[in-house]
Amino acid sequence: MNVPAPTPTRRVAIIVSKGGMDEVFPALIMANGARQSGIEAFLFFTFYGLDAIIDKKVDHLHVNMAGNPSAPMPTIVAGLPGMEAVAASMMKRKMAKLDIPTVREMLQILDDSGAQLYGCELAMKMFEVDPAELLPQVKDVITVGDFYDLSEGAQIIFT
Amino acid sequence: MTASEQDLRRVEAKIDAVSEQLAALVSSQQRTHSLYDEMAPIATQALGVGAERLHDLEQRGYFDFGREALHVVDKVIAGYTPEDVHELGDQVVRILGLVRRITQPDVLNLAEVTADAAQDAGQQDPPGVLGILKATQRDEEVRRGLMVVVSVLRQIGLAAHKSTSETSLATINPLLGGQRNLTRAPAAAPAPAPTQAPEPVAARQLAGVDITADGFIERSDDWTPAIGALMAETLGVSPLTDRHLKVIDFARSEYEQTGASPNIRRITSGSGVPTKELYALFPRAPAKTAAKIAGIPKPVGCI
Repeated sequence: MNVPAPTPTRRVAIIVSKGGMDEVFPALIMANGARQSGIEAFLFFTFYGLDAIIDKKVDHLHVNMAGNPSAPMPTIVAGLPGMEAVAASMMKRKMAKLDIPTVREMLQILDDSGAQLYGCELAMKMFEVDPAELLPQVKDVITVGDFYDLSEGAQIIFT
Repeated sequence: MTASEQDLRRVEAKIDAVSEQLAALVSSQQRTHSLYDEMAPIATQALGVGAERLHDLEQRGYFDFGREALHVVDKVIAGYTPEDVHELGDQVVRILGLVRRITQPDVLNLAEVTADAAQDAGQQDPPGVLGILKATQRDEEVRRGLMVVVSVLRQIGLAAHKSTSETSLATINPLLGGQRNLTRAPAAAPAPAPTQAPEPVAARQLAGVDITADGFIERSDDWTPAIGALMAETLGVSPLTDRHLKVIDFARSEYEQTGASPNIRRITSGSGVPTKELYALFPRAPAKTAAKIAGIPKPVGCI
């Protein structure tokens, strides 16, 4: 089987440090878009971004509307208890209507497409997360240095 | 009467006739003379005035202007080859038309008004962003003027687009390099005939089928399984297996039904080929590669 003319492979490294649904999703879509365009993708989940790869939490990511100037409601309303869950469920419904996969599905798609998912060792210690709690798509728990080595030459996106 | 008398009379009569003519001649001569006498001072004066006028022109720089103009002509002659002049000749009618249109009173008025406005504006303090915004919102004349500018820009854009599509970039880049060549750009632009197509287009064909700039088959009607196989080979996806064909058949039928090329999510949910296998079947961008092989347009969407 012959291979197409060797073009330098593009790579992106996306660092997910926040756990809001509206913060995780763009990162996953960027990574998926990279894979669809033949770009290698590496994801590094750290701090609150870890929530996206924790089995118990991945389906309950919320959207914080308080302090968000683009929120369709005043901050005083957005700050009421339970508001972020309401906002998240509204967003989920809308995404389901558009056939946008859930975060869990998205992670599966990313893994299938060859994107590499990593957890941050330091953040896991800080938040006392056991590697067994992570989704099976997470390839490994590594340090920042390891991640830089793995994704050498990649363009870095920090979210 | 004697014969001699008769002769004498004849001679007298002749002299009379001659003297009459002589008198007429003399009087005419006198008239000319007096005319000359009258004219001479006037002519002298006229000459003086002419000389003065020429001197005046000299003072006002007309001759300097002329001399400089000669230099310009020299430079034009040195800078233009006979081919340039020949091309210029072809364009003369258009140039004259342009000059005529420019010198229409309306256009000249507009130019004058514009120049006045520019001078006035130069003396005023520049308005802030808000001032400009206010002017564009409130002042109807400003809006009208903006519209005129926009439509002029649009025409320029159209013309530029047309001229770049008529010439390949390769011929335009060197033109932008030297000023000398720049003057030839308008005349040179229409030169490449449609038969002598620019190289990139000629290279964008696969077995006689047109290919878009980003590698998709231009018209999906041109597609045949053989073309698909050929395309797959050039993309390094060969040989095509049943699983490849399953994806390609699905992509084509989806395009025929919906008018849009399926994205990866649609392919996986519709064809039953899972994501992982899809990436293995079509390495690098699977949806795009499958669309290229299936002869359908580039898929759009982020998922």
